[in-house]
Order: sequence, then C-alpha cells, then structure tokens
Amino acid sequence: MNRRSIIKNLGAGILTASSLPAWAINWNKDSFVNIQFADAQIVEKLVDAIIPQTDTPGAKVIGAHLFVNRMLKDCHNEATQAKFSMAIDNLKSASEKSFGKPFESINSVEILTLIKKSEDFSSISLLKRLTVQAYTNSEYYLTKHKNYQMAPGYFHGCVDIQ
Amino acid sequence: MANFNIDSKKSRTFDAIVIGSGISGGWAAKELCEKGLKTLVLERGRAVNHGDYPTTMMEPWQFDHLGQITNEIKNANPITSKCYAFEEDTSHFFVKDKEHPYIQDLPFDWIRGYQTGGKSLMWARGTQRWSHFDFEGPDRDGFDVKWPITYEELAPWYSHVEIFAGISGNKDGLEQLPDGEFLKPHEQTCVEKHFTDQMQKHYNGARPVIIGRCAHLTDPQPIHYKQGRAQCQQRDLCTRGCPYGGYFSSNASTLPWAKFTGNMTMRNNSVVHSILYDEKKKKAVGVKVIDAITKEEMNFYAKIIFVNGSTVNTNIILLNSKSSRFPNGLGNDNGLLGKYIHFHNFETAIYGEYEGYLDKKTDGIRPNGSYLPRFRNVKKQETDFLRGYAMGFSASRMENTNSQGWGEELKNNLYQRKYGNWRVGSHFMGETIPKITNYVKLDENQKDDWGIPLVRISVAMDENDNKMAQDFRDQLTEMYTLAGFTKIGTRKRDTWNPGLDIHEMGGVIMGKDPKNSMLNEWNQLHHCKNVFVTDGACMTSNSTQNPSLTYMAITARAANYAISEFKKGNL
Repeated sequence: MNRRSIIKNLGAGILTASSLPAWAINWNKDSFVNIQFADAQIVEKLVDAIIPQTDTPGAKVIGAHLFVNRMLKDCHNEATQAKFSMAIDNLKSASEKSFGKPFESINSVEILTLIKKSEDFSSISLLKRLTVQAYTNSEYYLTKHKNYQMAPGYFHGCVDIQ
Repeated sequence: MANFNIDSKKSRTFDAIVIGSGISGGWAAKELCEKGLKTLVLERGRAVNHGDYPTTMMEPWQFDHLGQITNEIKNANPITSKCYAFEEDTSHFFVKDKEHPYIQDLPFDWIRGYQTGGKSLMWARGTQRWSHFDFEGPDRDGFDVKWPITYEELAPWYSHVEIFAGISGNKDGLEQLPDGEFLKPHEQTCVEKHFTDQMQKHYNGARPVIIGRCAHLTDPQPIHYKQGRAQCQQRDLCTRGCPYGGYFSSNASTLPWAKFTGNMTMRNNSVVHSILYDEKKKKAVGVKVIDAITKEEMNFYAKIIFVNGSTVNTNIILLNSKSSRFPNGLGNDNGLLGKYIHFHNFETAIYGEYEGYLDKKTDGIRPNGSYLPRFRNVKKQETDFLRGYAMGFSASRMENTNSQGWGEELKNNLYQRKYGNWRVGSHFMGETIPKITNYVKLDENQKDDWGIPLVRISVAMDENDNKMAQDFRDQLTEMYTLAGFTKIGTRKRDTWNPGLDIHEMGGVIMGKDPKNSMLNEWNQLHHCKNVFVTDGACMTSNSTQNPSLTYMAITARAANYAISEFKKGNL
C-alpha cells in the first residue's frame, strides 16, 4: 500500500496525517510480519508506559513502538535482537509472577514496576533510548516544543537566554 | 541513412572533451563552453539535474531510521559507511563498495560519488586560498618535485572562481591565508570569539582564529541569480543537495551555465576507458567510452581533452591509455604516472567544554565553523617534523536532553529546557609529504564491469604524519587550556585510513621538469600537450587548505590557456 492511499484511508476524524511520523504512516501489516524478535503489542504497551499520554501526546501516539521495532530489525545485530526478545519474555513471566496476570492485562504503573526490577539492563536501556529518540525527534516534540525550523535563514552567534 | 548520421564520426567530434562533471570538470565545461567551444562532458554516473535531490525537503521525523544507516547497508559497505556524510539522507549519492571494486595493497578508504556533479554535491564546502608559503613549501623543504606556478600567477584565477561560485568569508589580512573576493561572513559564536581573543593575547597574532571561508551564498549577487541560485537558507542540510543552490556545486552552478551557452553536450553513464593517441599526429585525438549500462563501446573525438575524473580515476584513465608511443600510460615517459599520491591527515581531533557565557546561546543555523590556518613552520622550520596543519574550531551550545526517570517523571524531564556547557572541538588537517613510494597502479589481471583493469592502491602514513598529529594534540591542548576550556580530551581515530579525508591528490603532478613531473605549468601532459589534467591528480603538494577552491582556480586558468592555444591553432 502506498503512502498516499494510507493517508486517504486514515480519515479526517482519527489523526491528521501530519501529526503522524513517517514510520507510522508507512506502517502496514505486510511490514509487521517481518518483525520476528519482539512482540509488537508488548512494545506498544512498553513505550506507552515509558512516556505516557497526558495533556500532551505520549510515545505511543507518536508511533515510538514502530520506530523501536524498526530500529531493532534494521540497525541492530542478531545478538542484540535475541537479547531483546529474551528481555520481553522475562517481562512476560515477571508479570505472571508479580501480578498473577499476563503482561497484556497489566497497567502502566505495573509495567514500570517490572521495568525497574528487570535485570536485562542493556535491553531495557536500549528500549528507553530508542523510545526517547523517537519522541524527541517526533514532529510534535520538535515543532511544538523545540521551535524546530528547517530553514531558519539566519544565525546569531551570541544571544541572551531568556 | 539516419543511423549513418547518428553513428558518423562527425557527430561524435567536438572541440573539447571534459572527462568528469565534478567540481573541476564543471569548471572546465563552463570556461570552454562560455568561450564558444563545442564541449562534450562525459560523466560515468547517472544524471542528477539541479533539483533532483530526493531527500532535500524531508523533515527529520520522516526518515525511517532518523538518519541512521541500516546494518544491511553498513555490512555491505564497510568502506563507504566510514564516511561522515554517508547517512540515511545522502547514501544515494555515494558509490557502494561493490559497485567499483579496487585493491588495497595498503588500507585506503576510497570515497566516491558517481553522478552528475560528482562529490561537489556532498562536499564540505570549505574554501581557503593557498598562500605563497604553500606554493614555495616543496622547494624550501626539499620535496622531490616543486610547483611550476606561484601564488601570484594563480591569484587572479582564485578571484575569478570565487566571484562566480560565491565564497563567504572575512577579510582577515593574513599573509598565510590570503583574502579573497568574499560575500558576507558568517558570525562566530561567543565562545569562538573568546577563543580568537585569547589566542590573540597569548600568541601575539601568530595563531589567528577566524570564521571559516565557505562556498555559501550569504549575500547573493546578480551573477549568482543569473545562475538560477538564491540565498543560502542556513538549513545545514547541504549534503542532500540544495534546491536553492545556496552552496556551490557543479549541478547548481557551472553545469547549468555551460548548458545555457548551447555549446555543452552532456553524456551520462559514460565510463572513459582510455584516451586515444594518434601516433602520426603525435597527440590525443579522442576518448574511448564504455556505456555504463549497455557496455557498448564508442569513441568520441576532440582537439582538447580535459581529464577531471577525480584523482584516482584520472590516474586509472591515463595508466590505461596505452599506445606504442606510450606503452606505460599516456605521457608516462619517466614512469612517474600514478606515483606521488598524497592526502590530508585527518586521523586526530580534540574536544572540550567551556563553562563561561552561560547566559548566552546561539540562534539559527550556521553551515560553517571557525578555522585556524596553519601556524607551524610557516615562515621557517621550527619543529622536528616538516610542514604543518590547519584546524577547524567550533563552539556550540545545545539544550540537554534530560532522560532521567520513567513515565510522567521522564516526560516532564524531556520537556525541561536547560542548556549544557558550551562544547568545543577541533579537527586536524595535516599536510603530508608527497612520496614516490605512495602510488596507484593497474592490476595485471583483474578487471571491472567495464573491462578496465582494477586499480591497486598503496598509500602509507609516515613518521612525519605521526609527529605532526602528536604536535596537534599537544599544541591544541595547550591552547584550549589557555582559553580556560575544561574536560579536554583528544581522540586518535584508529580506523582512519588515507582516503577518508576525501582529499586524495597527485599521481599526475605538475612540475617544471619533464624528468620528474607529468604536467607542465599549464596542466598539459609534458609529452601530449592537448591533454590537460586539472583535478586533484595534478597537485604537486597538498598544503593544509581544503583543496577544491584550488582545483577550481587551476582548472579555470588551464582552460583559458587551452582556449587561447586552440584559437591560435596550436592544439
């Protein structure tokens, strides 16, 4: 499915195309199948807990879970991917052990409790780093918070910080 | 009959042929076409017309990997992916490792751009003139080969190319880095000015720190609008190609200008196999081309041939141009073709922080930095190594990303706006000594996809390079300390190899004496006067400046000489 038809299918009431990052716009089920190492829905719950929706969008709305999956698949080696899958499995079993229910049914507070207790330090820190990277490079964050301009047309070398 | 016309030798005959459309080839094309010569420009890569820059208007969040190269691409391109500019937004402009293989007798990172405009699309745009000290250097320091031209001879041609290309800079009045025809300079940051002042104080003017000189239209003039270019928008996304023509490239400037004369014929996908030498006429009569896609072989003819294929490829073409008169490559009577390959040493760097000016920041974007011209061994020999180095210097201040905590706490932290200390850094650009032992040559058996022998590259660093890099670390540590910088650290890039500077030069060097050089003072092959070499291959030595501006000036000078000789009937 090409990008144009996805934008059309989104419909006006759900999300405007411009508020969605490209990796979210480009997302479709075909590419989803290729993601083998991490349970996509679990990653979605994780990023939502790490940077939650408040009066401003959270990591899930800006599509950070799609970015995490894409980066793991495309920019990290098999060893890192395997470790990451293991970390997810460990979170799943920790959920059963600590709360007596599957990861899919625990809430964000419970997810953060498990994350903080996790001993898979490198995978958890990678997850956090990628989530923060996606969030702080999102259109929302850059344009609404960072005064991002692609073409400022000027440079002042020494101005006061207000 | 139609086929007869198309295939006829006449339709493949021009006044001049320019091999390569990069930064120097573009200049040859512009000068030749402007003066009325029917000129064929042969480019081995695909067509990239000005504006054909697919990523240029993309926002950061529109890149699938936020700019990072994927493992698949990285693993397939261990050499090209070492280049600082090879990223998700620019990778389509770089030659992939498998596309055009070469043999590394010694490690050499060969970074290439095969398309219209070549590497002028992705270059770093630093443009400093050489001084008389630089041209006199090889003579003073006893190099094998001395320059056949002086700064005074090249100076008007520097002016000529600067006015047209658009070079921003400040008139600093330095003998070691002559002023040019400058557009409005960029501003230094508070801490760059602080460094300038401190160095002035401590070294009494012997170590100036100036704003960089770069090929950006900070203040476009009618000559630039006439090229279809507009003011630089200060996006600093230059390596994607600039839709405004805000920086100089062949694509935005010289090639459209040449095309507008009606005298230029551009042929893409044209890999030059060799230059054709006529034993009776005792000159070159044309070139043999292999179509990159169809592999079809064809000849083109002209009275003047400019070779601007980029240093290593220019060497390959000449080495592969064998005839009974020149069995070892065109003009290669002394056996020096391919020898004296030299480069700039970029293997080290320094960084630190500054805890002053904490109430100040920068605003906007600057596609440039500050610059320190060479201060070592300028007027006389003063160290235990020969020559010296130039340096970049930049001081910038970013908001810190506070990613402490989880959940709402993390989110609040990410929304904090706090500036960190000023961060400062300098990279090293060391002059290297051209040596006969650093060479390229053709492999005797292996050939590329176009039937041209693979090149073997053997270029080594030496003790002079190591001593100089250590001196950079020592001197810059002292200078950073004097300026009050903290957390100073130096870095030696162990994976850095010659070539990664993308300033490789030599192999077809200029000189007065046909016994020890390949080209005369007009860039003509000593033994085949209608062949001119004016890209990096012609460079007798490398000095410390970014080389492109000098290639441009040398090319414009040689092209105008060629035109006058052509009009006199001497070529």
